[in-house]
Amino acid sequence: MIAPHVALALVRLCFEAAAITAYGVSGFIAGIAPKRLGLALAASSNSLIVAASSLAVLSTIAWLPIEGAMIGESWQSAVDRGTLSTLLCDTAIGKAWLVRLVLSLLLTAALAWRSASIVRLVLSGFLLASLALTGHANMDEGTRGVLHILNDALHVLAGGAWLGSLLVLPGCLARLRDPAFCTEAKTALRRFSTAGHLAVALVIATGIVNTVLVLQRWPTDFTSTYQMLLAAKIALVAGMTGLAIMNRYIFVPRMVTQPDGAIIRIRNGTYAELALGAGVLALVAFLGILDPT
Amino acid sequence: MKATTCALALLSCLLFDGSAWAHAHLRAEVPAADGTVGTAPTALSLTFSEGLEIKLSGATLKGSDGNAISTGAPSLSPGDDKLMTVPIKGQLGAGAYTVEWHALSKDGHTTHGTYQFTVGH
Repeated sequence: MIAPHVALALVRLCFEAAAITAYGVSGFIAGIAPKRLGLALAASSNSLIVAASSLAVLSTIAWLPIEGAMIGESWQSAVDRGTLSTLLCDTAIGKAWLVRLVLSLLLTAALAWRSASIVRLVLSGFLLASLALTGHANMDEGTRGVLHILNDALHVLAGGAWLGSLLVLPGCLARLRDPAFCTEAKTALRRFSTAGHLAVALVIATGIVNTVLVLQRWPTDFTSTYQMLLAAKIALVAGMTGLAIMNRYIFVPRMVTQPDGAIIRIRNGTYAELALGAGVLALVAFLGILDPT
Repeated sequence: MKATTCALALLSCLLFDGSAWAHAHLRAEVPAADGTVGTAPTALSLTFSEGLEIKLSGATLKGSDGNAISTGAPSLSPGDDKLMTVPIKGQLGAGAYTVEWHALSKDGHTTHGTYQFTVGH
């Protein structure tokens, strides 16, 4: 049997992946793609949205008993009615959990409307921002504490928008070759480039602020597991940024001269970015249960 | 549109209520760890680095024979959710005592530890 705190990190990873998928995919469809392309992308990413919404509910439900097991330091506590009811009724964790449960159930209910991308975007945005409340979003109180939570929320929202929207990008690239969607796909890519610059800049800026607020130093002391994993996360994000810059400033200009080759390169670069992003999520989930020293 | 804005504002309040979130480490304790006190304490006071969820935090007191000494329900001091007080029932005699504490911080992290103190003559 795995230890409860490892299970908590895994359930957090599932929750993050689900929320980011719902958020990024809906964001691309509702905010980036012109209407007709948006509908086409919504149809082709429907199973992804169904999976993400279901995973959001399941990982939220699993969260509370696992938290109970961690507190009681045994798996028996996961089903102990006293621990669970105290956790639910008398703690801030329970309150945040209830909000998350309601949001994820609403996200699942919204599956009945395939075109409800804006509703999905808002619900999953709040789900994602709620992570700022169960993370290290502060050891501070008062104004500084609120700013820290807002900064962390902005960090996960910008990061989630970047990573999650990459899931739709290959579908959008493929439609460049479809005469019915070519113009709209080009518009979407232009908007994606603008929004992408903003998201990446926000991720880096809020990430620096977060590091300063949590650690109050640069993560260079590798005797601390927290700092080592944080440095690894920063390296992965730097890799993602490099791939994004390569796509935008090397392969996009080539689309004029060698469209087919350039599109394949951009698609492969996107897959590589997604793989690095999955690594970032795994690190985030484990950083969340570690003591930041 | 107005209704949507209100709903979002309400949701924001629920999500961002400005509480503190981090691991709770023991910063100070009365009686002090490894210290000797002349008069028997009537309560244990533990100060942590972060705010606690008191319903799932607490401490047990054991004598040198390893038997637990009866204590009351732990409580937080009003206006300071970092200071936990555990009342001791009855009178402590001279001898060495061990405190085993466990804390749940507001972000759901657990910490625990032990320390000793001595009641002198």
